[in-house]
Amino acid sequence: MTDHPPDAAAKQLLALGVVLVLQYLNLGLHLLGFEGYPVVALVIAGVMVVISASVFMDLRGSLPATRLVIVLAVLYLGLLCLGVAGDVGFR
Amino acid sequence: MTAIEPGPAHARARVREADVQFENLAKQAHAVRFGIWLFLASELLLFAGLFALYTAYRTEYPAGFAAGIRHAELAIGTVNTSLLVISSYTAASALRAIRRDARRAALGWLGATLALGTVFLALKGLEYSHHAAEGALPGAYYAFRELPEHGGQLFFTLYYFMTGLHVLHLVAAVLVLAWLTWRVSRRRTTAAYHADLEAGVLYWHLVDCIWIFLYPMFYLLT
Repeated sequence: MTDHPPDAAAKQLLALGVVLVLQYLNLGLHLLGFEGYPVVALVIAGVMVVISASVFMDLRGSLPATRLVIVLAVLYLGLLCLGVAGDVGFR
Repeated sequence: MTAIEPGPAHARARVREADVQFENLAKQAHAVRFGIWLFLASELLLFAGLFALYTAYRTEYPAGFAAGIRHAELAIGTVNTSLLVISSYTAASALRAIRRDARRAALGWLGATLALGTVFLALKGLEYSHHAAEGALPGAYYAFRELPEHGGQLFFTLYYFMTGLHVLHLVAAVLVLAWLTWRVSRRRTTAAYHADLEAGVLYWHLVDCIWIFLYPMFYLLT
């Protein structure tokens, strides 16, 4: 992690606001209920995690080796998702 | 290794020296950061397998899972999600405070984070007790009359296993953060060396990120 610049507090507060808005947007869409909502809900959750990881966990300011670990983990997750999608799709 | 720093202003402060296997504190901090990220990646893979299991069962029993989610305690789940999201901000604020050597502020933010995590656990306990009273228990103990299908039983088994594993992680995170709060209060974690607090806070964020996915899976995707 890098040392935070003075505006880090404002950036993190903004991120908190955006993540909370996304959470309640997700809840609102759930209450509306429409076809294709599960995909939208998971995409919203994904965006919330990306914001948390990049702002609160300061992933962009981390060491290259650290970023490589995360990229490999995400690639593995992608392969797993592909495998599950393949299993579901070809039943 | 630590040594007492001389001088009246820092009479109780400790100057940390690098552990014997490291050349200096900076290298030790780099090793701690890399190590915690490797650990977080392995945790991610553990939950990824469970997410895949959930997807497979949900595809097999869509009606049972949708009915199970309709019986979820949506209000508690929503409040708990907000609590964890806010706790990520307070944890990050504690780290910011320690970096600028604001020990009291750091202690305040850490206290707030611990309080939010504890309220989450209390609400989760309340939720479990509601489900248990209905007979919605895992595995062979399942006796939920409103949802007798096998899909409902599988849903609640996965619900208890995945949220229970998350609760165990949160309990660990609360204990780690409590220990780090003690270290900050004793001036063992300071602006000069705070890699331990960075690692604890990163672990807290991971627990939050996992919950962000569990929330739609067990409360929203009807």
